[in-house]
Parts: sequence; structure tokens; C-alpha cells
Amino acid sequence: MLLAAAAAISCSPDRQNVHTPGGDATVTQTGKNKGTVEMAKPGGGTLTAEYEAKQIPADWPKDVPLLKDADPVMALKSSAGPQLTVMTAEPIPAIVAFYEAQLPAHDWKIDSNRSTGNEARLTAAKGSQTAIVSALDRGSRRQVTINVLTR
Amino acid sequence: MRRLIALIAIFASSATAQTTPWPPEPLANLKEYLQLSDVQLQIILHNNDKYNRWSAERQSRIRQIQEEIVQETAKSPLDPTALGVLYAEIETLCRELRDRAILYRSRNLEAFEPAQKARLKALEAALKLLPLASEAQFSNLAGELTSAPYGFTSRYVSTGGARLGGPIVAPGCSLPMSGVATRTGDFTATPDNR
Repeated sequence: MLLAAAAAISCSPDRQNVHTPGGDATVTQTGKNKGTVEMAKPGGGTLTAEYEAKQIPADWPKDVPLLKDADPVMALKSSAGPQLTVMTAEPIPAIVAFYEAQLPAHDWKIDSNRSTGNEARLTAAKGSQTAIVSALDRGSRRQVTINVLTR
Repeated sequence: MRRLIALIAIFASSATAQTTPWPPEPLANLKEYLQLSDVQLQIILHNNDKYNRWSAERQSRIRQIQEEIVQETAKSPLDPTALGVLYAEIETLCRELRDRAILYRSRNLEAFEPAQKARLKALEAALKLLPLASEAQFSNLAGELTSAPYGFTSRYVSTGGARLGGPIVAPGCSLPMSGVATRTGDFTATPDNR
């Protein structure tokens, strides 16, 4: 529906203007399953992000490990840092246990770790970087989003 | 018996009313620690209220986008452009929230006196120690043991790392060990659930 609306005002097949409640966006496809989004913030300023679907970006930080069973959905890269969303069959406690062990093994210091039954959020710091791992139960699979932010 | 409980409840509430204002004053401890004036406190509460109202709309939109992402992710084949826009919109909204929080913090601090700023710096320093303090709680080294803890960090068990607020309470042990358990009301209709 989002892009149906966008199609009405699109400039070309590779470049589309999309109106969203969060701001107006210009999407440019730069290749199969990837492109850039420029989004104007309602309060001023612009976000420019590269997106890539269905694969783990080649420049994904090596010190932020990924689950073996991780089906990449979407990667977003902006000036704030990279973000990756994967789907996995692993249960939430296993995801939390993986990052509790693997982040310190890669010199991250875990700052906070909160879990409820169907949701978990873990943050870790390393120098000027912060890693945020969010896991959300989506029925048969879990959606894991990892943000690596640079302060 | 019921009359006795009711009398105890009335006595307890009147005794409490003399010492504890109701509703409790927000940020009372912080007000005392930072020596905030009533005007300063009201400015902070007013700014925070404005932020909360403003952010509620954005957070509602973020939840909506997350649902849209779930729907888009379930599609085959995936529509990368649609997903890209949705993720970018969340990122944009998150940045807006953070920017607005920074703005309101600066407004909250505008009228602070130098002595208040110094006390706030001490709090900032204490905040940096919180993860350590939490680890100490989870290692059974520090913190109050008012409830029966479920477990502590060991070689084989990780009970929550830097979770603040202390270890999780063991199932069935949610009442504080040192407190007095009270039960009031009419329980004649309550089924026996033991």
C-alpha cells in the first residue's frame, strides 16, 4: 500500500517518492535488492541510508557476531552506523545467551540486558560504539535486529 | 473479623496520611538532593510531559511500522524498496525522538544553579558505576536480599548480566522476607487455589 501510493508520484522505475507519516522519502534502486533512501525529517534535517535486502553486507562489522541460523532480511547503513535484521528459528533465551557470550568475547562490555517472555534487548559498549541487539518473537521465528551506533 | 480488618485499614491509612503526601510528589527525592525550587520542579515536569505527549505519537507510529515490517517480511518475494523505506522511517523517528529528548534536557537544565550542576555531575558519575553495581548484585556481593533470589551468575548460569534492579525472585517467593504480609478485604468468595 505504501508503494502503491508512491507509484502515483514516482519519477522513474528506479526512483520513487514516498510519503510516510515519518517524513517524505526518495528511494533510489541501485541494484537488485538494494538502493538508497533519503528521508526528510518533519522537524528538519535529512536521513540518508543505504539498504540491502536478503544478504549480510560485506562490510558488516566482524566484531558483531551473527547467529549461525540467521536469515538476513534487511540491512540499513546510515551515518549513525549499520543495522541488520535477520530472522531465526532460535528461541529468545538462546539468542540472548549467544550474545551474552559472544559480545564480551569480541571485547564488548554488556551494559544492559532485559528480557521478557517474547522480547529481549541487550546493549553493549566498546570505545565510542554501542551495539543494540533486539529480539522479538514472531511466532514460528524470531526477528533479531542489531544496531551498531557510533557516538 | 472483617470489622477488625477494616478498623486496622482505617488506622493504617490515617497514620500514613500524616507522613506521606498523597498523591506522592513526583521527583521528591531528586528535588531534595538537587535542592530544586518548586518552579524548577514544575518546569522539569512540564517539559517532560510535553516530551511524553509528543513522543507517544511517534512511538505509536513506530509500533505500526513494525507491524508493517512483519507483513512485508512474510511476503515472497520480498519487496526490498518497501522494507527499505519502512526501516528508514523507523530510524528517522528514532533520531527525532533522541533529538527532541536532548532539546528538552537542555531546557530542563537551563535554570540550574552552579551548585545544582555540580550535584548533577556527581549523579552522572554514579550512573557510570551502575553496570558494575548490577554485576555485584548478580554476583551475590552487594545489594539488599529482601526477597529470595532465583540464582546468581556462576560459571554455568547467567542470570541476566547487567539487568538493573537486582536478581530475579525465585518462583513462589515474591513476598519480601523481612516485610510483614498483610491481606485485607473479603476473601470469602476466593476459591482455594493451593
